[in-house]
Amino acid sequence: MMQGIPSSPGIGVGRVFILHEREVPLGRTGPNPPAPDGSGGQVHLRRSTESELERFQRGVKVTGSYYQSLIERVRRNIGAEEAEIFEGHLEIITGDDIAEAVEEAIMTREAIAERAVVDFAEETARDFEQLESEYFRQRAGDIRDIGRRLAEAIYFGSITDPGALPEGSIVIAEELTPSATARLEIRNVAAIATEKGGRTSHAAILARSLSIPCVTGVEGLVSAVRSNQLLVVDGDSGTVETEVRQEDVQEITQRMRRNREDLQRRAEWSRRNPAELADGTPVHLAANVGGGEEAELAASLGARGVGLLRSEFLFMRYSDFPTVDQQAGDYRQACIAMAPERVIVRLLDCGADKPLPYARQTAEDNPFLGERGIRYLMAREEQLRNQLRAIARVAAEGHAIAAMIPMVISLEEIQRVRDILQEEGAAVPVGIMVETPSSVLTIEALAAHSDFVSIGTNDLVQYLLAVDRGNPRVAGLYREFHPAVMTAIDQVVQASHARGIHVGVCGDMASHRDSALALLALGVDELSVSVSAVPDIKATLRRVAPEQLRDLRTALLSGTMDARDAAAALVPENPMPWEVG
Amino acid sequence: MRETTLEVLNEEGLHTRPANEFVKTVKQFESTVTLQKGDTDVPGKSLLKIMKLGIVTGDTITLRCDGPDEDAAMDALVRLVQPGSPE
Repeated sequence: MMQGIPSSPGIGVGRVFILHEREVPLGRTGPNPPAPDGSGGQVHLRRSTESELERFQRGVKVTGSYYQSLIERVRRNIGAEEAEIFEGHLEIITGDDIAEAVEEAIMTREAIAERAVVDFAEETARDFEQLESEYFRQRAGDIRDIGRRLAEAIYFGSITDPGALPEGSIVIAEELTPSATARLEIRNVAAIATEKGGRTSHAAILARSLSIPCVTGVEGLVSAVRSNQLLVVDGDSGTVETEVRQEDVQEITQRMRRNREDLQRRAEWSRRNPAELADGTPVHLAANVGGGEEAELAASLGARGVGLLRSEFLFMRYSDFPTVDQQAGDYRQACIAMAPERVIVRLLDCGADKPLPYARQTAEDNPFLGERGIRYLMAREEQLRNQLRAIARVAAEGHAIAAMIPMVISLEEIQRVRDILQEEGAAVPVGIMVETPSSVLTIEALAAHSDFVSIGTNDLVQYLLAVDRGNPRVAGLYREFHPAVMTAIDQVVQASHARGIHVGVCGDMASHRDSALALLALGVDELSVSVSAVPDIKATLRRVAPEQLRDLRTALLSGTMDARDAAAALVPENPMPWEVG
Repeated sequence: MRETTLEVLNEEGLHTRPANEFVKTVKQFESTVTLQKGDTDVPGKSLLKIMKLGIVTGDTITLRCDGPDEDAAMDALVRLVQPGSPE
């Protein structure tokens, strides 16, 4: 049994599907050196010219049929336009250009097939990077990807296809990137376990919103499991069990079915009961979503509005920056699902732990301190303008929509967004994400130029405490109830209320029962929680009185380290209301 | 041989999708097709070489078609880069 961090509740049993970038040894160019002891060792030796040519041709065939099935899947799951882009990639793979260049490298430079393919892709990618048009410069990433897939097919004779996973799979990865997740056939996933990451890494957030059990931060996971082996992932205890007996499987399958039934009862209860305190004081409870389908789910649970639409999740469904039309379509879908409540679109927040493949961001030593959030958008104003245009269009149609700026550290960033909206002649409320220490310290000035603020606690906590939330070695130091965090939230609430503006929290703290109560005690106006947490948080609020929250506030701001205990003491005992009767 | 110099008017220029459409169209004809932007001339059947020209809306390109069905080929290709032009 292996221990990790419990990241999405529930238990799943199934067969292992390992999702990883397989390392292809690229060998060298030129004749093979004589093996000193005749063993050959781990070096990937070149065979004859003829056999390298044959290996390349076989690789093209394997890659071609992989792309054929990818095209079909993309056409079904995403759309015809996206599928046609992959048809272009297929044409490049099977076309003469690559074949001529690779054959020449094999024959005249004595390259192995894998090396010839990767070199050609790299040279071509560099040519693309020299082009004037941003669009064509970004194609360099596509070409490198094509090169990697070809090399994988030549070396292994197959391509790992994240979309081809069989029903009931346990997805195992070193790290699950959002773009890899976007290609997964999610209904076939029984559970997820990753080697890196923690509760707030994006795989974990996604798993929670889809109610898929997930464990993160399991050291040595990928090398400890084999493809197709039976595995149990317990998202409540954070364990991964490799020794599974047949009778366990039956027992766990039954538990999975009971879990599903429980989920249905929760949904039913949540739909019928409003979010309010024990005395009937209403609480604004909204949801964090990654797209329109999730917004529909949130609305069916009785969430009031979307406090955070993660637009980067929408962008990840495309293989290139979505057009204004495509974006407007996505935002409109979320607004219609939530009407008449408001949808807050967070402007594209790519970079750091959420790389967008086609955004071609350069590697940074400190990505969390690098070009992410609004910094990325300010450097590529065309994308910022397109996104604001799409939001403005949906607003002009009469939908309740607002724009929220991620990673704000200064007034200039707010002003730039407002200027563009004004140039577009649009009236859209603009708010900021408070997630940097600088935005807390200058909140009075920032609030004066914002229509609302929303505290992004995941990044705020990690920046305030200087603790990397994705690093299992320091994850224990990531403490949401740290006195510095309590004081920061209090400051933001006071300053915003003095300006008469609304304060929401869209970070993970809003989705847990004890920290949600702490946020309300500190005076936060709106909790925006993960979709699956809506029933839990509602049930908790409905059993807590306003006086209890007033007392809790004093305890939270006392500067002691036991603030969590004070909040936890208010969390009502089980059973949950839908478990009764 | 037919030769036409024209402005690219379709919305996406020769991005991956329309460029692949262009190559598919060229392959339907027997004639040899080349496409030139600036001083660079590339075969109309090579998607990668066409994309490396980085053709965007508003660029001026020269198409050359040579072969038994050059008229039909030229008409089809012009319609692709200038949608809405008279048939």
